[in-house]
Amino acid sequence: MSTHPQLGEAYELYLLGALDGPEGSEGAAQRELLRAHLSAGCAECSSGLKRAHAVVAAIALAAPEAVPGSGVKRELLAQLAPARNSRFRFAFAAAWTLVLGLAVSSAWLWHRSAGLEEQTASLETQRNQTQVALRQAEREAAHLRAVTEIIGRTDTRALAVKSTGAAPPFGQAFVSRERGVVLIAGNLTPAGADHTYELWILPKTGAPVAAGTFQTDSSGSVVHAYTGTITADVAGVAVTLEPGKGGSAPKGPIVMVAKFANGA
Amino acid sequence: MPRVTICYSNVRMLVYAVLLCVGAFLMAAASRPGPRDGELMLQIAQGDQRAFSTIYDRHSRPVFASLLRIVRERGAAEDLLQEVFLSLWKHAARYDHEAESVLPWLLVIGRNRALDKVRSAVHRYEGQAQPIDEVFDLRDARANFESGIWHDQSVDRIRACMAQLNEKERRVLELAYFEGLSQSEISSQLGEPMGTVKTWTRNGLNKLRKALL
Repeated sequence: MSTHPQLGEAYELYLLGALDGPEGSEGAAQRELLRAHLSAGCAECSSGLKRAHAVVAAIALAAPEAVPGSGVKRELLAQLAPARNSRFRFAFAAAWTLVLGLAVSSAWLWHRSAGLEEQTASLETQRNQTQVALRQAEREAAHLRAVTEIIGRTDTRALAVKSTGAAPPFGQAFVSRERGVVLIAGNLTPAGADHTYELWILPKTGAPVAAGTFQTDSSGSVVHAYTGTITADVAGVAVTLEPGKGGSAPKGPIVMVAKFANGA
Repeated sequence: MPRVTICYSNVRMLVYAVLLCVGAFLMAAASRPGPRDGELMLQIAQGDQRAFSTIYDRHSRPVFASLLRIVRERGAAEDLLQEVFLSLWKHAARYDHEAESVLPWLLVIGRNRALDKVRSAVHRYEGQAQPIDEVFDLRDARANFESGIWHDQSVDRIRACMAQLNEKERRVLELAYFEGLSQSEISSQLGEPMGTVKTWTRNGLNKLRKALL
């Protein structure tokens, strides 16, 4: 077990800066030994140095009593205040800059947000309008597709539809038992708000079969397509002017009618 | 109807009792110890100038006396005193707030600055083996003091410890502390053999250590 070297008053002398001597002397050896121990974190030397501090500081009290001038404290306190005020002013200015910056940023963001909201509303309106137009286009495309399919079939037979009234509406019907009926008509009187035109398929036997209602455009023209398989032998087609929204059995007057000579 | 009789002698006794209580209260308040240095240093670290003023009033005299003893010029000592307390103000946050007394720290900082000032003026210590700042790290305000000793023993009590030393012992210690002289320099200055100086130094430090620790 190793023992710690007895350094005695070397701690106090070391602190006083009085541990001197040429190389190889006792003082120089103790100084180097103490430095080495302190560098190595020696607990005993560290503790010895702490005690030595208290002893060395006590020597200071051997000085004759003296009182500093009253102006010393006043000047000292005056030196503290500017530093503190300067720091305070800096902190105050920094805080205000921060608050101002936040306010400007908030105003800009609010303004930008309002602009974006307007743009969003405008785009929403455009989207709705586009969707309506698209649905309309889709309906018209489906309508035209149905018309084309019916008219373009080889089994489709054309039927001239004649007027039954004084005004001479005219038209052409295309009947396909597998696909349906297309009616192209003109010079029809607008049905009005409380009436509607209704197309009927007239079987050779039995009651007429409803084939859809329609309204004409402002010039009295219409292209109406009824899609569906027709099971019965078709004797012809007719158009009636029905009250209200029409129904499954004709009630109104026949406006146009056409019959095959020998059925479809 | 009951009759109330006022006895003037009783009133006088009551007044005396009240005065006695007030006097006791004032004496207790006056004798009550102020806040510890560690608490004051904590307040100073937060920018409390009143706490700084209290610390100054408490310790400026012994620190100034020590500085004046080293630099021997009142104006320079007062400048150094301001530097020392400004250092305390700046580094208060780094101080060990559990420590009882800040006086040893102030004394050591003051000694180092004063000796540096003297040395830079006369260039006497160039090439000295052990600069003072090497042993007192001023940047670390957590001074390695057994400062509890300083709290338990008043400045007067510590001065009384110094008074136990004989003239020669006190002389060599003062030359080391206030002049920053090495033992060989003390030997030369006093015209005494090195061994004698070492003996006086050892005896003086031993007496101080026994009295203080």
